[in-house]
Amino acid sequence: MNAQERYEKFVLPDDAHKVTVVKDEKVENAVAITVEREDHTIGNLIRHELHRDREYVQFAGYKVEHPLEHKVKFQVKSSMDRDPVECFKDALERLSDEMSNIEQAIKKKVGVD
Amino acid sequence: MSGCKSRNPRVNILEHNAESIKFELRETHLSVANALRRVMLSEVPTLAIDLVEIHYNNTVLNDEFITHRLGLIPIVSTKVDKFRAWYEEDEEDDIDEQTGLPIDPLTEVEFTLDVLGRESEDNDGEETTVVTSNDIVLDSLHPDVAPINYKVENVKPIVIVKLRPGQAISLKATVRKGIGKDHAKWNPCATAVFRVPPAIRVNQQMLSGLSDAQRQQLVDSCPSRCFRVNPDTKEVEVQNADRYTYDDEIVRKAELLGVGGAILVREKPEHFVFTVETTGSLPPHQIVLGALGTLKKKLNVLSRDTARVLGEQNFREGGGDGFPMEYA
Repeated sequence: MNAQERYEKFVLPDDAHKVTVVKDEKVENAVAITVEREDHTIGNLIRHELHRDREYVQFAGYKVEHPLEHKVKFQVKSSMDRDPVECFKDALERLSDEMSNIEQAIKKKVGVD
Repeated sequence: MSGCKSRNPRVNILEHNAESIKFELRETHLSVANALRRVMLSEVPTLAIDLVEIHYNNTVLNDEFITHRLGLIPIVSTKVDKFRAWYEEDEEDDIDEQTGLPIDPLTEVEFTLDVLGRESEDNDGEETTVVTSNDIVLDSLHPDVAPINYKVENVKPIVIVKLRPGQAISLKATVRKGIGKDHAKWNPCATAVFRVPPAIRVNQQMLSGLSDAQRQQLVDSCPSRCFRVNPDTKEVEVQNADRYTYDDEIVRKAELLGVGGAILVREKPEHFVFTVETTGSLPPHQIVLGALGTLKKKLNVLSRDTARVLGEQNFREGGGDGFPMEYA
């Protein structure tokens, strides 16, 4: 009776933003980035991509705070010469490129388009 | 930009047929392999029967039971891109290449099913009439949206319900686009797994002190039978490494025989072997490509919205009253 609708897992509500950023009050150059309607698939993927950026990213972690609240929270701290949100965006762009690269490689090997 | 570049993983296809694909993904991280696997299982869109309107049913199965069975029949989803689920926004790139006009996305396609249980004299002497996926009547406007193996000769169709003479079923079924996260009936995969192959090193010099019987014992200790004693040279060798289950039994046996470290097993770094089987709704390589497309779209949506956040922040900075910037 109190069950959530199944679509709540992946349909973004009209009044919500996909990404919200809150600056950390105690640590400099650290932010909490909340991504709505996503899960561990993206969480773990992005966290590891942030770890690869050794030059700027000093800390990156993620958690799904509650199993019935369909959002992922990242915490990112970067060095002073780069904004942590920029680092997050860089990671997303690198991953997107990587997906394109895999897609191209598979298309080439399978022989479609 | 940061100094770190995006990876360019290597792909190698090992097996590929109508039902399954097996491929290697190398030079990437476990998190990428796992994201790909998870998306294949739950976020590649397909078509499935989602709503059923029952007009008449006096069969032994109740309405919701039949509805559930219909939902689980795989529907050929190669045209799924032309469909739009209710929660999706229209995309701008849906433009007809010839006319230049936007294409109206499909939302649903309707099937009908009307079968009456025949008397045995009209039914090759059979008491029961079997209602199968082949009895479904397709939407005449969309003949390419059909249950799998629809009216293919010598392929057994999917049984929906069995009727006695006089029993009948009549219904209308609506096919819609969806994803496995919503309901498993939209999951295109029968299997989607990856494993990390082992790198096994056998130190022949250390094993040279063992008797033939001891070597046989060593080989027999591996429950997945990945090793053998070469009948000619009597050397212990790896037979089929890809079956190794990382059980470590042979490593411990080697220690017991006093040759600890003679057999070393480790996971090959950055190497993943995927096996993907389809339910029939999509060709196996399309599942993989669909998953990559979905992931890419997800990441692009995120980076666009992150850009929006950054833009708002710059706007505030532009206001410039000397206070440290704050995020929305």
